[in-house]
Amino acid sequence: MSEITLVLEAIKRGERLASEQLLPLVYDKLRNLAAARMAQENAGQTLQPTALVHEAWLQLAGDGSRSWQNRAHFFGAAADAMRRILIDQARRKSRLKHGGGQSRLDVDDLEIAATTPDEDALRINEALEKLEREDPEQARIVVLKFFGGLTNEEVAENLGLSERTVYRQWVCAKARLFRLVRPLEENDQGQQSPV
Amino acid sequence: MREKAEQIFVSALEIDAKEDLKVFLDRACQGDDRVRAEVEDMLALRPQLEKMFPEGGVVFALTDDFVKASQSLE
Repeated sequence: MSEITLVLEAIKRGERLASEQLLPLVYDKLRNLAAARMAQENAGQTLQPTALVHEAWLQLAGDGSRSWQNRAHFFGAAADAMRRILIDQARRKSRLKHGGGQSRLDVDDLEIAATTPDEDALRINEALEKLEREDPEQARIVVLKFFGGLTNEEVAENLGLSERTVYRQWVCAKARLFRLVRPLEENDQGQQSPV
Repeated sequence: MREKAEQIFVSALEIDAKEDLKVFLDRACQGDDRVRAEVEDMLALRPQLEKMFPEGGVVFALTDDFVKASQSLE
């Protein structure tokens, strides 16, 4: 049983100090993912992940009333939190870019420049909302992998599927999302064209 | 049709040689042009998919700062 699972079980039992032990463990998990990500040639975009993780943590921990069934449940919720934060941030940046919002952002505003540009993230999110209606399981896999950065093994644990099924659903979901995004891009270009 | 196309697509991803892929698609699609077109369209997207969906997810395009910050917590 992993250390995270043990801590989550302690939290479930109501052990108050356990919550304090969870954050460093989550950081460690993120650090490992980050190291793997950075090993890729195209890594190196700027963002303040510490701020992102803190914000996600605040959403997850909240007032302390939430409980976690297990490690998979926790990271599933973490992926949802990451998605909300990143999409909210991308929407805000997009509004500013297009002339909305006259005031400056707060100094401590998150500066997130993810691998995919903000507007790509927004388009993917919009397509993901469509996929959620058409195929909730594929959509959930996208949330866990794309926004949560979970491995196939972790997604399989989260959803009670085999790793092979997760792999198959993930590659198909990517293709479906891309094809959903394509018409959105064409519409965007159409709207920008002079009539 | 979509499920069939997706099954063929996933299997086709494991085939590198063009000739082998053609033979596989001929056999798997069984003359169904719509399924074949669907599979070929998905296969053509592969390079763009890797760019749009980087391994590790959107969250983890991280800087050294994060690694240092997280190491300080250990």
